[in-house]
Amino acid sequence: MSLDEEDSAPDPPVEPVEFLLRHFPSDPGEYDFTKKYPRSSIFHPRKSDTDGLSLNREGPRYVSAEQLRQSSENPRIREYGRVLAILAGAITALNLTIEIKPGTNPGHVIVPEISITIYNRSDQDKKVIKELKDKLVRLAATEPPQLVIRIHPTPRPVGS
Amino acid sequence: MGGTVVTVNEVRSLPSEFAAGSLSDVATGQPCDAVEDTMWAKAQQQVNAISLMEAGWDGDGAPVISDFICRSSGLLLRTLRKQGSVAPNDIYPTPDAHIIVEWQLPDDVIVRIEVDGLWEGEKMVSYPSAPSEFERITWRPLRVRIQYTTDGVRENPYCLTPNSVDVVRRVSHNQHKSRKSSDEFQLAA
Repeated sequence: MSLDEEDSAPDPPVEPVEFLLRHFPSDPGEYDFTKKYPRSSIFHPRKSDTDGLSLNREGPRYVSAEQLRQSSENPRIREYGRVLAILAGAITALNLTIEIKPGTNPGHVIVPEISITIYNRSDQDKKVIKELKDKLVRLAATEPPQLVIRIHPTPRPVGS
Repeated sequence: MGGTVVTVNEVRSLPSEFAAGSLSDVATGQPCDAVEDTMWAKAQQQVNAISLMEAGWDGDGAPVISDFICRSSGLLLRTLRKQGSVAPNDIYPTPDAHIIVEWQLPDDVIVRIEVDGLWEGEKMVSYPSAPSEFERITWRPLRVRIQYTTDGVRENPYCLTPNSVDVVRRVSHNQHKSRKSSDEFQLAA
């Protein structure tokens, strides 16, 4: 297989050990690394998440956390925002699905159970998604740290 | 307006060592009252900062957080503080233009109040290994700013939706005539 053929080949299935990325704003203020759990709003479906929660596969073939951050249309996210990386296997362990869905960035996938369409359907659906968001942020407390969830970029060391 | 008046029992029923004013802060040596004051002030500043965020703040077309959601959040903070709650750990907006006030408590209990309407919201208490509990809650102003006009009494514009009529006391015409415009009026309990 030539390099060109490899580039145009469909993305392989997502492996449980892969990390999936989602950028988010830190506004207002700075991301608080002292908090045990990240903000649940990171997993809240956004306007364009009509068919599922958008994530991007991390890796040389796809994107890096920094590339994803820099791809945001919002300059404040490019400068001050963060990117959450979550282990794909931890998502499927919650009985959620990861579907490959080509998008703007390479390696785009969705979690169809967390879409804005479902969220806006009924109060009961809202509660289900809020519960899922809660379960996802709670993965941040898995030991050892950063095994399942990590945040990019990490704070600069004091004095640097 | 449905639901119950806000009480954050999970916050208020914390062990005594978490109660405001019962300890000195380990890092600063300041009495907890001072620490709590700072934390509440920071919480209000956070709401103020949210109110200034521009449309598209999430990078995906999120609307600005409306003035009444911000004001409702501010009133919620004042109400909780008055009730003896500890200050929240974080306050942040959601892409659907609501505000979440969040406490990360011991034993991995997380309390979130999502302010989604005028003086109302949903309290979600989540546990590490049990289903979350949801409750609609409302809160109300203890003082409202009354505006007097030639055609009678107009309460604070934030009191004028049908849902909120029951939470403000009608002011008699005589009271109205004896007061100046924009006077503050203490509501009966």
